[in-house]
Amino acid sequence: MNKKQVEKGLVDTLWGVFSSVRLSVIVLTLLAVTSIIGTVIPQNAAPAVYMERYGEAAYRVFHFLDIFDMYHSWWFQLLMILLGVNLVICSIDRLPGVLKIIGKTQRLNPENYRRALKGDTLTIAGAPGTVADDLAQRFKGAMGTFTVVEEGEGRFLFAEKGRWTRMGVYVVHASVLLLLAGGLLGSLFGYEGYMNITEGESASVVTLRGSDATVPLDFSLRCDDFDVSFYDTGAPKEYRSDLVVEEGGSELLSKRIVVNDPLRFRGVSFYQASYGMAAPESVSFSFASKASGMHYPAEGKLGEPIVIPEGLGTFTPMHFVNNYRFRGHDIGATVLGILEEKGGEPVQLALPVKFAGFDRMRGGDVVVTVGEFENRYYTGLQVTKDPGVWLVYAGFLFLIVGCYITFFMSHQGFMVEVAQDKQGSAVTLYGNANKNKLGMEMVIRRLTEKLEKETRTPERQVEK
Amino acid sequence: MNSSLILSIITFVYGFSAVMYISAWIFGKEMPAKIARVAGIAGIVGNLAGFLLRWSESYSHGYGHIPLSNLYESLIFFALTIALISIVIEVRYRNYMISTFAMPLAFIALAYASLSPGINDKIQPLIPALKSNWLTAHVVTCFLGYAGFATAFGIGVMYLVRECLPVKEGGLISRLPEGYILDELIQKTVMFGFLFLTVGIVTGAVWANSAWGSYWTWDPKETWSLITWFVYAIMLHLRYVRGWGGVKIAVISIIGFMAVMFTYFGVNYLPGLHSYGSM
Repeated sequence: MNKKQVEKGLVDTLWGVFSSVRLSVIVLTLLAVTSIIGTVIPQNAAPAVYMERYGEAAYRVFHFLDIFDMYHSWWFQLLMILLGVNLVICSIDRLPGVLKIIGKTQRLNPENYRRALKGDTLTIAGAPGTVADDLAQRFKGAMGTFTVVEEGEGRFLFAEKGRWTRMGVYVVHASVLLLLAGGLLGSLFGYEGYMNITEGESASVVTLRGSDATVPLDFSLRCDDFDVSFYDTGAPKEYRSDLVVEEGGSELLSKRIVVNDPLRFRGVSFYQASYGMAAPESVSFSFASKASGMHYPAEGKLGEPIVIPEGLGTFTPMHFVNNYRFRGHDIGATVLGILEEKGGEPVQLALPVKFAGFDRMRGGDVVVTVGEFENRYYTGLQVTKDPGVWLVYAGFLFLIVGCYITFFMSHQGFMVEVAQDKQGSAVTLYGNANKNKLGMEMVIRRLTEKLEKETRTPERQVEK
Repeated sequence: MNSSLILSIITFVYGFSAVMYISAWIFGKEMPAKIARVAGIAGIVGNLAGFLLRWSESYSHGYGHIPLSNLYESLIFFALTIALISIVIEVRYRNYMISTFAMPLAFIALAYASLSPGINDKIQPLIPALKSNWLTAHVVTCFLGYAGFATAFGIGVMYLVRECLPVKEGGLISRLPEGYILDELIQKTVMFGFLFLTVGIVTGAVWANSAWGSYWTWDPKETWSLITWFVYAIMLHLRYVRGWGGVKIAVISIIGFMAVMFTYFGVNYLPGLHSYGSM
């Protein structure tokens, strides 16, 4: 054996492997089984969560296998590529044969229908020639245009329809390739990120999910207003933002978006995803002295210390948090700050906006309460760019159309045998289909029954 | 008279129909099957009426949405589709055996909705994520798919009973439709289910893209629907290309339905975007 032969043998073997339906079944099974993993093990959580749940050894193994982001892991992507290659080679392997069948001229041989589905034989008055002409008209809609073959006095009518439906399965395969290509295009040239814009402000930078990377937009987006409304049950009814697209100081587009109605501009889409209270620039506080019973109002900015009268110390508001968790309970919008009392250790205070007397619980010499502050929302926008989405949509369309053709249409062949009989003609219907034999059996039975009804009593029909 | 009451009554109508179908089978008589079919059709009409009434009730609550927004409402629609599909096949193929195995499923679905204390039958307003025209297209097609698979499951069980147990002349099993008819019907109902599951997944993906900006996020429900899709895709390939049939296909139709059930119910115990389906 020389080298060339070995190579040829290898190529043939590989071709054989990749064009086999066995491989498709194996890959589909692997995809189905491995997909389960990601629905049981939460994806893209923090390492600490996994450590706690599975222990360090299991964590290392899972991490090595990319189990925590398995749908984007190399081995899962490899399975999908394998499916794509398998589809392409399978189709190249089988398509010429199918095209040959589609291009073939109709076979006009009664022998081909020897093993076809067969209806009951009916007797119809009239010579075979006349009856055949009548039947050709009668069944044209159900069976297609007939070719008549004469055999002595008898006639054979042949018709075919739906040859092209043999292509249906390739439409489905093409659609899967389109979906894979669209997905690939999206993951290469698209992104998924978010933007938080405070009411009245503009932003033009998208922060990507899962990293701190940012993408600048070539325009900026202003949020004029955000509003959330509730049903009388307390369930949220609608989140909406009034957005304006700006470029170089001029307004290009404005749109009010809600959850199912995003803003799309230059291939980038903005979806209503979340909202929250924006950190105020300044907050007014009230300091109640336990000793004197006096209340002292004071205005303060985040990070700047406020000196409390009566020599009670200083208070520095540090952060504004939207949903602060205090001993496991969400206490809503909260200002966090540090109180340094004379001669005491600094303590961190949590001052929820909703609960005025919250700080009294601490039992200190001074009770700090959050008063007025400028109440502004920010809108949380999901920002995506996906140039592959149109390929995916085309794939969806092909997929549905292809499935319909494959499952509910078939290549059907019909033969009507009209033989000479003592009372006129003996008529038998035959049908063949590449799929759905039971359906063909029903078609032949129904057509035979219908024909029988319509031809049984010619006298009565004449009376009518 | 409210929709919940009507649907509770329809539960018993389906139950009666199922009992009649089963007695027709056990006693080998046509009469109970005829009664069962009439009861089944009455059940379908009542089920549809309950569905429509609930729809109109939601308007009088001021919420106004098609009743396909939570587990209770989906079960009602599921029962309707199962009963409808089985009766259509029964009439088309002139064989009442299909409904003998499918009508109990419609009964169970509705009984679970009406009688289970864990399922809330209150009409609730739509959360913002569900306010979309895609809701109807997505849920209706998904459930037509599920119903097709449920019917295939029923026929698959019938096939295994017919082919794997000893057949006595004139006995219960001999009254089941012949194996080749069941075999063909499994394929037909799976193809029906597959087409609608495909449309359901596609409409869901298009909807997700218009609501969240991503047509596929590997959310557990999405993933399980894809797993289900894979199982039936494998089955159709084995059938068409490798000529599998009989017991093997019947077994896959049962495995496939397990995946459907997990997609429908099991996923509610996993976190994800479809968690509102659990109420």
